[in-house]
Amino acid sequence: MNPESAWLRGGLVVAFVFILHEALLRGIRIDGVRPDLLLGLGIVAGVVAGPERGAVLAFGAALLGDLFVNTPFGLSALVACVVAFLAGSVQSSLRPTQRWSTPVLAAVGSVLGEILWAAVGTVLGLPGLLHLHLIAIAVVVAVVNAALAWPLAVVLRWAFPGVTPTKVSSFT
Amino acid sequence: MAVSRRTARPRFTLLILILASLTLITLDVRGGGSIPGLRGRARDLFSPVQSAVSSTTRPLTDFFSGVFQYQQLKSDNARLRGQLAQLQAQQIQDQYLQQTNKDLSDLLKLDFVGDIPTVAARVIAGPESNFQVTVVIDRGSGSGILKGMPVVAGSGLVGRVIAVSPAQSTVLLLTDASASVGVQLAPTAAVGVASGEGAGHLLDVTLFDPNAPVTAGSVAVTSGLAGSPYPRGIPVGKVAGAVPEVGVKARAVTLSPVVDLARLSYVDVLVWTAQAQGAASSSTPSTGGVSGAGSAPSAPSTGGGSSSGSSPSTSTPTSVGP
Repeated sequence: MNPESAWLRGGLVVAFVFILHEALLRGIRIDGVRPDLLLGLGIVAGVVAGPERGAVLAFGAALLGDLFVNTPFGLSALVACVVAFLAGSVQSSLRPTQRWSTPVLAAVGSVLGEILWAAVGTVLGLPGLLHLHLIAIAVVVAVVNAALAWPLAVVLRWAFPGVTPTKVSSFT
Repeated sequence: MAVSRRTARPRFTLLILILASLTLITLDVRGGGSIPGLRGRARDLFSPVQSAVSSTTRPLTDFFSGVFQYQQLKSDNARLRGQLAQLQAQQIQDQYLQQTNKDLSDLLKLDFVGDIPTVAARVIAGPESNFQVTVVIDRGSGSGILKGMPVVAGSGLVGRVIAVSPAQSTVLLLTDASASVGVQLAPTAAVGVASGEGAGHLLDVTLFDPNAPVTAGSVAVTSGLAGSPYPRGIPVGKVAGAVPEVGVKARAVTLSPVVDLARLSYVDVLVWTAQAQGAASSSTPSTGGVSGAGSAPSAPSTGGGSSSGSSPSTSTPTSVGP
Protein backbone atom coordinates (compact mmCIF):
# COMPACT_ATOMS: atom_id res chain seq x y z
CA MET A 1 0.00 0.00 0.00
CA ASN A 2 1.34 3.41 -0.92
CA PRO A 3 1.74 6.09 1.76
CA GLU A 4 -1.14 8.18 0.39
CA SER A 5 -3.59 5.32 0.82
CA ALA A 6 -2.32 4.70 4.34
CA TRP A 7 -2.84 8.32 5.33
CA LEU A 8 -6.26 8.33 3.69
CA ARG A 9 -7.22 5.35 5.81
CA GLY A 10 -5.65 7.04 8.83
CA GLY A 11 -7.86 10.06 8.20
CA LEU A 12 -10.93 7.84 8.03
CA VAL A 13 -9.97 6.25 11.34
CA VAL A 14 -9.53 9.69 12.92
CA ALA A 15 -12.93 10.80 11.59
CA PHE A 16 -14.61 7.63 12.87
CA VAL A 17 -13.04 7.86 16.33
CA PHE A 18 -13.75 11.58 16.47
CA ILE A 19 -17.47 10.98 15.84
CA LEU A 20 -17.46 8.29 18.53
CA HIS A 21 -15.70 10.66 20.90
CA GLU A 22 -17.88 13.72 20.28
CA ALA A 23 -21.26 12.09 19.75
CA LEU A 24 -21.27 8.78 21.59
CA LEU A 25 -18.91 9.38 24.50
CA ARG A 26 -19.98 12.98 25.05
CA GLY A 27 -22.71 12.07 27.51
CA ILE A 28 -20.77 9.36 29.31
CA ARG A 29 -19.11 10.32 32.57
CA ILE A 30 -17.24 7.92 34.82
CA ASP A 31 -16.85 9.46 38.26
CA GLY A 32 -17.50 12.79 36.58
CA VAL A 33 -14.73 12.26 34.04
CA ARG A 34 -15.20 12.14 30.29
CA PRO A 35 -13.12 9.49 28.50
CA ASP A 36 -10.52 10.93 26.13
CA LEU A 37 -10.60 8.59 23.16
CA LEU A 38 -8.69 10.97 20.88
CA LEU A 39 -5.67 10.86 23.18
CA GLY A 40 -5.88 7.07 23.25
CA LEU A 41 -6.03 6.97 19.45
CA GLY A 42 -2.87 9.04 19.20
CA ILE A 43 -0.96 6.90 21.67
CA VAL A 44 -1.98 3.64 20.01
CA ALA A 45 -1.08 5.15 16.63
CA GLY A 46 2.39 5.77 17.99
CA VAL A 47 2.61 2.16 19.16
CA VAL A 48 1.25 0.65 15.94
CA ALA A 49 2.57 2.96 13.25
CA GLY A 50 5.72 4.28 14.88
CA PRO A 51 6.62 7.52 16.62
CA GLU A 52 6.59 9.74 13.55
CA ARG A 53 3.29 8.64 12.05
CA GLY A 54 1.80 8.36 15.53
CA ALA A 55 2.78 11.92 16.40
CA VAL A 56 1.30 13.27 13.16
CA LEU A 57 -1.95 11.33 13.57
CA ALA A 58 -2.20 12.28 17.26
CA PHE A 59 -1.60 15.91 16.37
CA GLY A 60 -4.36 15.87 13.76
CA ALA A 61 -6.89 14.08 15.95
CA ALA A 62 -6.24 16.26 18.99
CA LEU A 63 -6.34 19.44 16.89
CA LEU A 64 -9.76 18.37 15.64
CA GLY A 65 -10.84 17.85 19.24
CA ASP A 66 -9.44 21.27 20.17
CA LEU A 67 -12.01 22.85 17.85
CA PHE A 68 -14.77 21.71 20.17
CA VAL A 69 -13.43 22.82 23.55
CA ASN A 70 -12.74 26.28 24.90
CA THR A 71 -9.23 25.66 26.09
CA PRO A 72 -6.28 27.11 24.14
CA PHE A 73 -6.35 25.86 20.55
CA GLY A 74 -3.44 23.51 19.99
CA LEU A 75 -2.84 22.58 23.63
CA SER A 76 -4.25 19.07 23.30
CA ALA A 77 -2.46 18.67 19.97
CA LEU A 78 0.85 19.59 21.57
CA VAL A 79 0.41 17.11 24.39
CA ALA A 80 -0.95 14.32 22.17
CA CYS A 81 1.86 14.45 19.61
CA VAL A 82 4.53 14.41 22.31
CA VAL A 83 2.94 11.50 24.19
CA ALA A 84 2.31 9.54 20.96
CA PHE A 85 5.90 10.06 19.93
CA LEU A 86 7.16 8.83 23.32
CA ALA A 87 4.85 5.80 23.22
CA GLY A 88 6.02 4.94 19.72
CA SER A 89 9.64 5.34 20.72
CA VAL A 90 9.25 3.07 23.73
CA GLN A 91 7.43 0.49 21.63
CA SER A 92 10.16 0.50 18.98
CA SER A 93 12.77 -0.18 21.65
CA LEU A 94 10.99 -3.32 22.91
CA ARG A 95 12.57 -6.55 21.61
CA PRO A 96 10.64 -8.63 20.83
CA THR A 97 7.38 -6.66 20.60
CA GLN A 98 5.22 -7.54 23.57
CA ARG A 99 1.48 -8.09 23.22
CA TRP A 100 0.71 -6.38 26.48
CA SER A 101 2.65 -3.30 25.52
CA THR A 102 -0.25 -1.65 23.64
CA PRO A 103 -2.68 -1.34 26.58
CA VAL A 104 0.11 -0.63 29.05
CA LEU A 105 1.55 2.14 26.91
CA ALA A 106 -1.98 3.47 26.31
CA ALA A 107 -2.56 3.64 30.07
CA VAL A 108 0.82 5.14 30.97
CA GLY A 109 0.65 7.53 28.03
CA SER A 110 -2.83 8.65 29.06
CA VAL A 111 -1.72 9.41 32.62
CA LEU A 112 1.28 11.29 31.27
CA GLY A 113 -0.88 13.12 28.75
CA GLU A 114 -3.44 14.33 31.29
CA ILE A 115 -0.75 15.47 33.73
CA LEU A 116 1.18 17.17 30.94
CA TRP A 117 -2.00 18.87 29.74
CA ALA A 118 -2.72 20.22 33.22
CA ALA A 119 0.89 21.33 33.68
CA VAL A 120 1.13 23.15 30.34
CA GLY A 121 -2.36 24.59 30.87
CA THR A 122 -1.25 25.95 34.23
CA VAL A 123 1.83 27.49 32.62
CA LEU A 124 -0.51 29.16 30.11
CA GLY A 125 -2.54 30.63 32.97
CA LEU A 126 -5.52 28.29 33.15
CA PRO A 127 -6.57 28.18 36.82
CA GLY A 128 -7.41 25.22 39.03
CA LEU A 129 -5.96 22.40 36.91
CA LEU A 130 -3.42 20.94 39.31
CA HIS A 131 -5.73 19.59 41.97
CA LEU A 132 -6.68 16.19 43.39
CA HIS A 133 -9.38 15.63 40.77
CA LEU A 134 -6.58 15.41 38.22
CA ILE A 135 -5.75 11.98 39.66
CA ALA A 136 -9.30 10.79 38.98
CA ILE A 137 -9.17 12.22 35.47
CA ALA A 138 -5.85 10.52 34.72
CA VAL A 139 -6.96 7.18 36.14
CA VAL A 140 -10.30 7.08 34.32
CA VAL A 141 -8.82 8.17 30.99
CA ALA A 142 -6.00 5.65 31.39
CA VAL A 143 -8.32 2.74 32.21
CA VAL A 144 -10.69 3.49 29.32
CA ASN A 145 -7.85 3.95 26.83
CA ALA A 146 -6.17 0.76 28.02
CA ALA A 147 -9.43 -1.13 27.59
CA LEU A 148 -9.91 0.25 24.07
CA ALA A 149 -6.26 -0.06 23.06
CA TRP A 150 -6.60 -3.37 21.22
CA PRO A 151 -9.66 -2.37 19.15
CA LEU A 152 -7.91 0.89 18.29
CA ALA A 153 -4.78 -1.05 17.37
CA VAL A 154 -6.81 -3.25 15.02
CA VAL A 155 -8.24 -0.33 13.07
CA LEU A 156 -4.89 1.44 13.01
CA ARG A 157 -3.17 -1.69 11.67
CA TRP A 158 -5.79 -1.65 8.92
CA ALA A 159 -4.81 1.94 8.16
CA PHE A 160 -1.07 1.35 8.37
CA PRO A 161 -0.54 -2.31 7.38
CA GLY A 162 2.93 -3.79 7.63
CA VAL A 163 4.44 -0.66 9.11
CA THR A 164 7.71 -1.17 10.94
CA PRO A 165 8.08 1.55 13.54
CA THR A 166 11.14 3.69 12.96
CA LYS A 167 13.61 3.49 15.79
CA VAL A 168 14.65 6.69 17.48
CA SER A 169 18.29 6.74 18.51
CA SER A 170 17.75 7.92 22.08
CA PHE A 171 15.59 4.89 22.82
CA THR A 172 17.85 2.28 21.24
CA MET B 1 27.32 9.31 18.24
CA ALA B 2 26.17 10.12 14.79
CA VAL B 3 22.43 10.04 14.24
CA SER B 4 21.34 8.59 10.90
CA ARG B 5 18.84 10.39 8.68
CA ARG B 6 16.37 7.58 9.25
CA THR B 7 16.34 8.09 13.01
CA ALA B 8 16.64 11.88 12.90
CA ARG B 9 13.53 12.41 10.73
CA PRO B 10 10.97 11.45 13.39
CA ARG B 11 12.52 13.94 15.79
CA PHE B 12 12.44 16.63 13.15
CA THR B 13 8.77 15.87 12.49
CA LEU B 14 8.02 16.06 16.22
CA LEU B 15 9.83 19.38 16.44
CA ILE B 16 7.73 20.74 13.57
CA LEU B 17 4.52 19.54 15.27
CA ILE B 18 5.53 21.11 18.59
CA LEU B 19 6.34 24.40 16.92
CA ALA B 20 3.02 24.30 15.05
CA SER B 21 1.16 23.65 18.32
CA LEU B 22 2.95 26.47 20.11
CA THR B 23 2.17 28.83 17.24
CA LEU B 24 -1.53 27.93 17.35
CA ILE B 25 -1.65 28.27 21.14
CA THR B 26 0.04 31.66 20.96
CA LEU B 27 -2.34 32.86 18.26
CA ASP B 28 -5.34 31.72 20.26
CA VAL B 29 -4.25 33.02 23.66
CA ARG B 30 -3.23 36.38 22.21
CA GLY B 31 -6.57 36.65 20.45
CA GLY B 32 -5.23 36.89 16.94
CA GLY B 33 -6.27 35.06 13.81
CA SER B 34 -9.58 33.49 12.99
CA ILE B 35 -9.52 30.65 15.52
CA PRO B 36 -12.71 31.68 17.40
CA GLY B 37 -14.58 31.90 14.10
CA LEU B 38 -13.12 28.58 12.98
CA ARG B 39 -14.33 26.95 16.19
CA GLY B 40 -17.82 28.37 15.76
CA ARG B 41 -18.06 27.16 12.16
CA ALA B 42 -16.73 23.71 13.10
CA ARG B 43 -19.33 23.35 15.86
CA ASP B 44 -22.17 24.42 13.60
CA LEU B 45 -20.94 22.11 10.84
CA PHE B 46 -20.65 19.13 13.17
CA SER B 47 -23.83 19.85 15.10
CA PRO B 48 -26.20 17.94 12.73
CA VAL B 49 -23.87 14.91 12.70
CA GLN B 50 -23.59 15.05 16.46
CA SER B 51 -27.35 15.26 16.89
CA ALA B 52 -27.97 12.40 14.47
CA VAL B 53 -25.39 10.10 16.04
CA SER B 54 -26.42 11.08 19.57
CA SER B 55 -30.10 10.33 18.95
CA THR B 56 -29.23 7.03 17.24
CA THR B 57 -26.91 5.88 19.97
CA ARG B 58 -28.83 7.36 22.89
CA PRO B 59 -30.01 3.97 24.20
CA LEU B 60 -26.41 2.77 24.26
CA THR B 61 -25.19 5.97 25.89
CA ASP B 62 -27.98 5.86 28.45
CA PHE B 63 -27.10 2.24 29.20
CA PHE B 64 -23.45 3.05 29.88
CA SER B 65 -24.40 6.17 31.83
CA GLY B 66 -26.71 4.01 33.92
CA VAL B 67 -23.97 1.46 34.51
CA PHE B 68 -21.38 4.02 35.51
CA GLN B 69 -23.78 6.12 37.58
CA TYR B 70 -25.84 3.34 39.14
CA GLN B 71 -24.77 4.10 42.69
CA GLN B 72 -25.39 7.79 42.20
CA LEU B 73 -28.85 7.14 40.73
CA LYS B 74 -29.66 4.87 43.63
CA SER B 75 -28.61 7.41 46.23
CA ASP B 76 -30.37 10.18 44.25
CA ASN B 77 -33.55 8.13 44.33
CA ALA B 78 -33.36 7.67 48.08
CA ARG B 79 -32.48 11.30 48.62
CA LEU B 80 -35.35 12.50 46.40
CA ARG B 81 -37.86 10.32 48.22
CA GLY B 82 -36.73 11.86 51.49
CA GLN B 83 -36.90 15.33 50.02
CA LEU B 84 -40.40 14.69 48.69
CA ALA B 85 -41.62 13.81 52.16
CA GLN B 86 -39.98 16.89 53.61
CA LEU B 87 -41.35 19.10 50.87
CA GLN B 88 -44.88 17.92 51.43
CA ALA B 89 -44.53 18.76 55.11
CA GLN B 90 -43.10 22.15 54.33
CA GLN B 91 -45.65 23.08 51.71
CA ILE B 92 -47.83 25.05 54.06
CA GLN B 93 -44.87 26.76 55.62
CA ASP B 94 -43.55 27.63 52.16
CA GLN B 95 -46.69 29.57 51.33
CA TYR B 96 -46.02 31.78 54.31
CA LEU B 97 -42.32 32.05 53.46
CA GLN B 98 -43.18 32.90 49.89
CA GLN B 99 -45.15 35.90 51.01
CA THR B 100 -42.38 36.89 53.40
CA ASN B 101 -39.80 36.46 50.66
CA LYS B 102 -41.82 38.67 48.34
CA ASP B 103 -41.99 41.38 50.94
CA LEU B 104 -38.25 41.17 51.65
CA SER B 105 -37.46 41.15 47.95
CA ASP B 106 -39.48 44.29 47.50
CA LEU B 107 -37.61 45.86 50.36
CA LEU B 108 -34.21 44.87 48.97
CA LYS B 109 -35.32 45.67 45.43
CA LEU B 110 -34.27 42.25 44.22
CA ASP B 111 -34.89 42.78 40.55
CA PHE B 112 -34.13 39.17 39.63
CA VAL B 113 -34.48 39.26 35.87
CA GLY B 114 -37.18 41.93 36.14
CA ASP B 115 -37.79 43.45 32.72
CA ILE B 116 -34.53 42.19 31.22
CA PRO B 117 -35.36 40.25 28.05
CA THR B 118 -34.35 36.61 28.10
CA VAL B 119 -33.60 33.87 25.58
CA ALA B 120 -34.70 30.42 26.68
CA ALA B 121 -32.22 27.69 25.78
CA ARG B 122 -31.84 23.98 26.25
CA VAL B 123 -28.67 22.47 27.66
CA ILE B 124 -27.48 20.10 24.95
CA ALA B 125 -24.11 18.99 26.31
CA GLY B 126 -22.17 18.90 29.50
CA PRO B 127 -18.56 19.91 30.00
CA GLU B 128 -16.57 19.77 26.77
CA SER B 129 -13.37 19.22 28.68
CA ASN B 130 -12.35 17.56 31.92
CA PHE B 131 -10.71 20.78 32.96
CA GLN B 132 -13.57 23.26 32.57
CA VAL B 133 -16.99 23.37 34.18
CA THR B 134 -19.13 24.39 31.24
CA VAL B 135 -22.35 23.45 29.46
CA VAL B 136 -23.36 23.93 25.85
CA ILE B 137 -26.76 25.46 25.04
CA ASP B 138 -28.70 25.32 21.80
CA ARG B 139 -28.93 29.06 21.21
CA GLY B 140 -26.23 31.29 19.79
CA SER B 141 -25.63 34.62 18.16
CA GLY B 142 -28.52 33.87 15.81
CA SER B 143 -30.82 34.27 18.82
CA GLY B 144 -29.17 37.47 19.98
CA ILE B 145 -26.80 35.91 22.48
CA LEU B 146 -23.47 37.64 22.97
CA LYS B 147 -20.34 36.66 24.80
CA GLY B 148 -20.51 37.73 28.46
CA MET B 149 -24.27 37.56 28.90
CA PRO B 150 -25.45 36.17 32.26
CA VAL B 151 -27.26 32.84 32.32
CA VAL B 152 -29.89 31.96 34.91
CA ALA B 153 -32.09 29.01 35.72
CA GLY B 154 -35.33 28.87 37.67
CA SER B 155 -33.92 29.84 41.05
CA GLY B 156 -30.84 31.89 40.30
CA LEU B 157 -27.54 32.44 38.58
CA VAL B 158 -25.93 29.68 36.52
CA GLY B 159 -22.94 31.45 34.95
CA ARG B 160 -22.12 33.43 31.87
CA VAL B 161 -21.61 32.91 28.17
CA ILE B 162 -17.94 32.56 27.22
CA ALA B 163 -18.17 31.45 23.60
CA VAL B 164 -20.81 31.95 20.96
CA SER B 165 -21.37 30.49 17.55
CA PRO B 166 -24.43 31.14 15.38
CA ALA B 167 -26.34 28.14 16.73
CA GLN B 168 -24.71 27.28 20.07
CA SER B 169 -23.13 28.92 23.08
CA THR B 170 -20.83 27.71 25.80
CA VAL B 171 -21.68 28.74 29.36
CA LEU B 172 -19.02 28.86 32.07
CA LEU B 173 -20.70 27.72 35.28
CA LEU B 174 -20.27 29.47 38.62
CA THR B 175 -18.33 26.58 40.06
CA ASP B 176 -15.52 26.71 37.51
CA ALA B 177 -12.21 27.60 39.12
CA SER B 178 -11.86 30.64 36.88
CA ALA B 179 -15.36 31.99 37.57
CA SER B 180 -16.12 34.64 40.17
CA VAL B 181 -19.05 36.91 40.88
CA GLY B 182 -19.61 39.90 43.12
CA VAL B 183 -22.19 39.08 45.78
CA GLN B 184 -24.19 40.85 48.43
CA LEU B 185 -25.36 38.89 51.43
CA ALA B 186 -28.87 39.37 52.76
CA PRO B 187 -29.92 40.74 55.18
CA THR B 188 -26.64 42.41 56.25
CA ALA B 189 -25.75 43.71 52.77
CA ALA B 190 -22.16 42.57 53.25
CA VAL B 191 -20.39 42.64 49.89
CA GLY B 192 -17.74 40.25 48.61
CA VAL B 193 -16.61 38.07 45.74
CA ALA B 194 -17.70 34.45 45.34
CA SER B 195 -15.22 32.28 43.44
CA GLY B 196 -15.68 28.82 41.96
CA GLU B 197 -13.70 25.91 43.35
CA GLY B 198 -14.51 23.25 40.78
CA ALA B 199 -17.51 21.09 39.92
CA GLY B 200 -19.38 19.83 42.97
CA HIS B 201 -17.62 22.20 45.34
CA LEU B 202 -19.04 25.15 47.24
CA LEU B 203 -18.26 28.71 46.20
CA ASP B 204 -15.59 30.43 48.25
CA VAL B 205 -16.52 33.97 49.36
CA THR B 206 -14.06 36.74 50.09
CA LEU B 207 -15.80 39.54 51.96
CA PHE B 208 -14.64 43.11 51.48
CA ASP B 209 -15.28 43.70 55.17
CA PRO B 210 -13.97 40.66 57.09
CA ASN B 211 -15.95 41.71 60.17
CA ALA B 212 -19.29 41.90 58.42
CA PRO B 213 -21.87 39.67 60.11
CA VAL B 214 -22.68 36.51 58.17
CA THR B 215 -25.46 34.11 58.98
CA ALA B 216 -25.55 30.54 57.76
CA GLY B 217 -28.44 30.02 55.39
CA SER B 218 -28.70 33.64 54.33
CA VAL B 219 -29.08 34.29 50.63
CA ALA B 220 -26.38 35.89 48.49
CA VAL B 221 -27.37 37.81 45.39
CA THR B 222 -25.29 39.44 42.68
CA SER B 223 -24.04 42.81 43.90
CA GLY B 224 -24.35 44.50 40.51
CA LEU B 225 -21.68 47.05 41.36
CA ALA B 226 -20.58 49.26 38.50
CA GLY B 227 -18.56 47.23 36.03
CA SER B 228 -19.96 43.94 37.20
CA PRO B 229 -20.89 41.60 34.36
CA TYR B 230 -24.08 40.61 36.19
CA PRO B 231 -27.16 42.70 36.93
CA ARG B 232 -27.98 43.29 40.57
CA GLY B 233 -30.17 40.99 42.61
CA ILE B 234 -29.85 37.58 40.97
CA PRO B 235 -29.75 34.87 43.66
CA VAL B 236 -26.36 33.14 43.64
CA GLY B 237 -26.33 30.88 46.64
CA LYS B 238 -26.97 30.34 50.30
CA VAL B 239 -24.31 30.68 52.95
CA ALA B 240 -23.29 27.14 53.79
CA GLY B 241 -20.74 28.03 56.42
CA ALA B 242 -18.75 30.87 57.97
CA VAL B 243 -15.82 29.44 59.87
CA PRO B 244 -13.21 31.72 61.53
CA GLU B 245 -9.79 31.20 59.97
CA VAL B 246 -6.85 30.57 62.25
CA GLY B 247 -4.30 33.36 62.53
CA VAL B 248 -6.15 35.97 60.49
CA LYS B 249 -9.06 38.23 61.24
CA ALA B 250 -11.31 36.70 58.62
CA ARG B 251 -13.73 33.85 58.06
CA ALA B 252 -13.91 31.14 55.46
CA VAL B 253 -17.35 31.83 54.04
CA THR B 254 -18.77 29.30 51.61
CA LEU B 255 -21.85 29.48 49.41
CA SER B 256 -23.98 26.64 48.15
CA PRO B 257 -25.32 27.57 44.67
CA VAL B 258 -29.11 27.94 44.60
CA VAL B 259 -29.22 26.24 41.22
CA ASP B 260 -28.36 22.55 40.95
CA LEU B 261 -25.62 23.00 38.37
CA ALA B 262 -25.14 19.28 37.93
CA ARG B 263 -28.63 18.83 36.53
CA LEU B 264 -29.33 21.69 34.21
CA SER B 265 -31.92 21.13 31.50
CA TYR B 266 -33.19 24.55 30.51
CA VAL B 267 -31.72 27.96 31.16
CA ASP B 268 -32.47 31.58 30.37
CA VAL B 269 -29.83 33.84 28.89
CA LEU B 270 -30.30 37.43 30.01
CA VAL B 271 -29.99 39.78 27.06
CA TRP B 272 -27.89 42.11 29.14
CA THR B 273 -24.28 43.19 29.00
CA ALA B 274 -22.36 45.34 31.42
CA GLN B 275 -21.09 47.41 28.52
CA ALA B 276 -24.58 48.30 27.35
CA GLN B 277 -25.63 48.93 30.93
CA GLY B 278 -22.57 51.10 31.48
CA ALA B 279 -23.41 53.15 28.39
CA ALA B 280 -26.97 53.60 29.58
CA SER B 281 -25.85 54.87 32.95
CA SER B 282 -22.56 56.48 31.99
CA SER B 283 -23.05 59.22 34.53
CA THR B 284 -22.66 56.72 37.37
CA PRO B 285 -19.07 56.75 38.69
CA SER B 286 -17.26 53.41 38.71
CA THR B 287 -16.90 51.88 42.11
CA GLY B 288 -14.48 49.19 41.10
CA GLY B 289 -16.80 46.32 40.48
CA VAL B 290 -15.67 42.80 40.92
CA SER B 291 -14.86 42.35 37.26
CA GLY B 292 -11.25 42.56 36.23
CA ALA B 293 -10.34 45.21 33.72
CA GLY B 294 -9.94 42.73 30.96
CA SER B 295 -12.89 40.60 31.78
CA ALA B 296 -15.84 42.87 31.24
CA PRO B 297 -18.04 41.34 28.60
CA SER B 298 -17.65 42.95 25.25
CA ALA B 299 -20.38 42.94 22.69
CA PRO B 300 -19.21 42.13 19.18
CA SER B 301 -19.95 44.87 16.74
CA THR B 302 -21.68 42.69 14.19
CA GLY B 303 -24.23 40.01 14.50
CA GLY B 304 -23.33 38.00 11.46
CA GLY B 305 -21.34 34.80 11.50
CA SER B 306 -19.53 33.85 14.61
CA SER B 307 -20.01 36.45 17.26
CA SER B 308 -17.00 35.61 19.29
CA GLY B 309 -15.67 38.95 18.24
CA SER B 310 -12.03 39.73 18.47
CA SER B 311 -11.63 38.36 21.94
CA PRO B 312 -10.25 34.89 22.28
CA SER B 313 -12.85 32.32 23.23
CA THR B 314 -10.41 30.42 25.37
CA SER B 315 -10.58 29.97 29.10
CA THR B 316 -7.69 32.23 29.91
CA PRO B 317 -8.29 34.20 33.09
CA THR B 318 -8.87 37.43 31.22
CA SER B 319 -11.70 35.99 29.17
CA VAL B 320 -13.66 34.14 31.77
CA GLY B 321 -13.29 36.32 34.81
CA PRO B 322 -16.16 37.73 36.81
